[in-house]
Amino acid sequence: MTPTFDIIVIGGGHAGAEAAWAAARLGARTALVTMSIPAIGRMSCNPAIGGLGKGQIVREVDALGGMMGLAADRAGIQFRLLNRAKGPAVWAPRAQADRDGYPGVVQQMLAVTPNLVVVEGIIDAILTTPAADHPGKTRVTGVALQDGRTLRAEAVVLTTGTFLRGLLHTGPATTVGGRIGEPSADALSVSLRALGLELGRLKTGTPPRVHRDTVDYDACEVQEPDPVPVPFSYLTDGIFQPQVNCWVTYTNPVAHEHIRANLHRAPLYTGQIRSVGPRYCPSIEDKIVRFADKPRHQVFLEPEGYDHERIYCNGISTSLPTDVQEAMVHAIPGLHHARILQYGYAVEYDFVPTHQIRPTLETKRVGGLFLAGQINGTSGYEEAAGQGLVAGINAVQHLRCAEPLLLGRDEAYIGVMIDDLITRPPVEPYRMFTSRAEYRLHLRSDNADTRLTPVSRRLGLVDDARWARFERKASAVARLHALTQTGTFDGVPIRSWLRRPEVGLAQVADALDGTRQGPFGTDDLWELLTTAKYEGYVVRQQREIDRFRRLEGMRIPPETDFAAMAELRTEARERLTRLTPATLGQAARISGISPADITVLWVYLTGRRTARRAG
Amino acid sequence: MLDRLDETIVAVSSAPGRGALGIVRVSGSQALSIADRVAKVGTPLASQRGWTRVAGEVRVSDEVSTPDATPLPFREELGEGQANAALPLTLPFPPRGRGVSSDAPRGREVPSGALSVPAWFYVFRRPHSYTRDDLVEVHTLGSPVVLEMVRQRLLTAGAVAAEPGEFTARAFLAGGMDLTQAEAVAGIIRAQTDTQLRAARRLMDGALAAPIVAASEQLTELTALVEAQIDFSEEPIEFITPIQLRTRLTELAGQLRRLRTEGLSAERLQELPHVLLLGSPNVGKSTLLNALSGTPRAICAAAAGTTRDILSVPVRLGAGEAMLLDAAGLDQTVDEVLAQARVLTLAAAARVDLICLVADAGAPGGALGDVVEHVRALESPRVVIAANKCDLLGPAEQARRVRELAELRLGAVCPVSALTQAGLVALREELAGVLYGPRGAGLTVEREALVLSGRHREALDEAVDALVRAIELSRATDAAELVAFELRTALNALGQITGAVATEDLLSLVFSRFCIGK
Repeated sequence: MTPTFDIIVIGGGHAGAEAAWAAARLGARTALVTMSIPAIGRMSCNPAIGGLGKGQIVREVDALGGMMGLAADRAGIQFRLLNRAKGPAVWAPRAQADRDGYPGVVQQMLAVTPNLVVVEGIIDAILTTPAADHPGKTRVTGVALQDGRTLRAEAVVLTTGTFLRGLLHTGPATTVGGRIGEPSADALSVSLRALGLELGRLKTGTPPRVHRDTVDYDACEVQEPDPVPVPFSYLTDGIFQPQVNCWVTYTNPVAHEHIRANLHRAPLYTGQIRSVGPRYCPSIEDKIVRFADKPRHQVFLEPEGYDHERIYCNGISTSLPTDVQEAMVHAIPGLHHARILQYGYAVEYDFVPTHQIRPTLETKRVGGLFLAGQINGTSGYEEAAGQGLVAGINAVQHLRCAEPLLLGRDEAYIGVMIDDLITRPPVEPYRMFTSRAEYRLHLRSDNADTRLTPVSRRLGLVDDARWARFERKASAVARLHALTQTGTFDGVPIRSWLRRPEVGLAQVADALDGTRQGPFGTDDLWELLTTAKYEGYVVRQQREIDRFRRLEGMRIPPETDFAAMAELRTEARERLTRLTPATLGQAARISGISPADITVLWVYLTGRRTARRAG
Repeated sequence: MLDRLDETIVAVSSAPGRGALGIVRVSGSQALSIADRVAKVGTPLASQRGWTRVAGEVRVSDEVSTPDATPLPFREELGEGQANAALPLTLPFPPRGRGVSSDAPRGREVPSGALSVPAWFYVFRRPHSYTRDDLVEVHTLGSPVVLEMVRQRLLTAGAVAAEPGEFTARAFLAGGMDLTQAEAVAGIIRAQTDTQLRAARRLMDGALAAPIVAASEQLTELTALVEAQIDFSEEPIEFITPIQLRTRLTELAGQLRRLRTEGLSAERLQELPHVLLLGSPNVGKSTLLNALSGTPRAICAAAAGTTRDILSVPVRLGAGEAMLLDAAGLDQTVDEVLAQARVLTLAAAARVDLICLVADAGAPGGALGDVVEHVRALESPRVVIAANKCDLLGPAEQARRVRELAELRLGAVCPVSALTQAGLVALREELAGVLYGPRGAGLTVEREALVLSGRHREALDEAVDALVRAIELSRATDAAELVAFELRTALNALGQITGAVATEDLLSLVFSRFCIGK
């Protein structure tokens, strides 16, 4: 008998793990299909979670009830809060994680998740049937595995990472695979094309890893962890595991010369790699060619774990031949005698350009087929996790015929990311930057719970324990706001006093001491302080948000025929037809669409609505 | 515009240029109270019933303290004789005395206090108005300068500047419409925004363009650098030092202020819609220009190719004015000078609001040659065809030619004779009809006049204010995100003139200049 599930998640990376976790916890009978169970939650690239823009996403994933924050808190070996020298709106948590510990925690969390079955195997095809209600479209019925098994489900979440027709490059040598030593998914790529999906190709890369006992640490600068680690999860009270150092060294003209002399053997320049890589994460050969005048580039030496023998050389990602990698690495101070345990490589993989997905992450063409992570052209564990969570939730909502989870640009970095994907499909691997969020002062890492936990509670993903914690904090913060709304302190209104640069947690705690109010936690005081600091700006930003919401609220019916709107410019007609935005707001953000196009579009939509009412 | 339907909008809504009568319109929930702040009337407009006309005065300025300080454009606009005469008495409306409050200034007393001009206020109450919302029309002196001052006062009083097509859009939002009407309305809005776009392009062709573009590029760069400090703080790069940032922001604010005070006032009157006379050489374009403008501005001669540069002259068309351009005829030529002139002409054709295609009614095909192809290649051109030299034809022959030209389906055909001036009235009416409306399937839609320079001025003000706040914030060490917030505000404001700058553009700038990434 064919095993039947509600939802099948393909891929056990950071997107797949979140999707499976969310779907199963929402009560859907879920199967997670992975090529290798020990590889679930693996960190293909650098062993770190969070960072600028990304740390905010982890906080959001956590506030929504996802896994990543909890796993990182348990497996983190060096926590740092970035951007501390700037305002709290742009503070971002980041942690080095133990390369073995992190997947271990993820696997353990999934193992105890009810409703979840993990299946080892390679998917060859997505099975579909013509959709009864939408002529010309299909809907998902299950998946076919390479070994001949078939699994049935109403919804499939596809998270292929770098495995979809993955091809690894080290020098002129190419190997088929999604990661070093692991196979690729080639038949699946063919299956997706057969379903009518258009595929594109992207590239990313990794640096060499060296043995920790062969590094001369005295030749490097030390980068210490924060004295008091700040956790990712709202459920974590503190980080108690020991914290380790990282080191920083620099490339030099000798290393650069080795690279320059061998550019004719670099796949990036010989035409061997033609797909586009990320500009914000260039390979070392790219850095040296594009910024020829820079005498040195930073290299972070990051331990891959407490007991892990490998050091990750962050900053010299490369696909040069192995002998050039040897020469280059050995020219770098601290690495003169380093033994390379794994050479750097580039990987090319297929993705599905995102004009083909809805804001729910469901494909437009195949009902019930959801995409998350690198298959949508993004890069980064955090970006993948955010999408995985949304795809998992929306797959369940799809089965329930319930309202999908659609996070706005004003609600979450995750919302910004998905909106960017559908309105400006990426041509290079997409990563989050705080500057992508126009409402950055509102989307802070301190208030992710206020923004998102109630939303997820309504969906059923937030359990009672998390909810109780949230309610306690919310009520404490509300009391603090009430307490500070009126009255004066130190001769000025309390609210203005709170905005003074010299007023921090200690001062507020002191001031509250005399009032016999409380007790208040650090988080509570912190949210009060941050809210007070940004008050004026948030009011200004709120006006923009109100306007933004009005356009977001104006829906464009899916069957809208843009081509028939004669008064739209030709370019506008083409782009709207390709991207089929769901709201006027989305349409307005498509590049090349002018405000006049939006007004014209709106007039047509209004006319049609009136006509339908009258008819 | 759809994101602010609850705000009160204002626009000059009479045809551009000088006319006896000008109209400024205010619509929205606060229309009456905002209009009351600029109106000098016996009973406040807010207490009037709908469909009422109230006589009074409208305040145009209260900054005038001495006669010498009277704003120059105002005096210039009225001409020497009028400025010294009792100004309001030269106006045909409204009758003075009724409904005018006792402090209303008169005649030569004007400069010593607040400056007001006579006006009628038409009060419409929802839903019985054009926009189905509260609406006030201020009918006053038809001078572009006075109308702009009235508009400014209303903006200060709390209205926001209407975008092209916004009155129309609101009217139909409130009223509901069927699909045919929607298509017509879409057409009107498209035409209005295209008009503004062309005007903006003309403005950007002018002397003002270079400094605004330069300022905008500077601001884009500074914003990108500040954003980079936030997003790439882990890089060992100092994108900009605090002192550099402050110095450059201060310079930039100064530049924008200068543009605000010097640049824009000079461009202010250059807002008339542009009409280009286009045709083969020697079909009588220059004669037509002279005939329409009433001045012998262009040199006319029987030899083909007499006009080589682009001539322009303001002409009256119906209720408004337009700038009429005469360019070299389009002819296949090997003459280098003429070839250059031809390039100029084609460039002009892409920027004007209306093309008056001049055909020689006596010649086969109107002697249009490849002109028709050029016109068809333009993006949504608006065309009126003047079939010239009709005085040489009999009635039957003329009718046949008109039919022939109409079959090109480029636009209406008007038989004229530039020489005898026959048919000129009809041609003017046709040109005015296309330029100022009404257009569309039986809809009465008025044209909202351009408010381009006004909007530019407001955009510059907004940008300068934001820069000043950014400079202040840049003194603090930990407020990069707030500096960025203000710079984005300024960038969005300038973007209304030069085109929006997307986050992707900022990131590209950083990635191209700095080596970012591990």
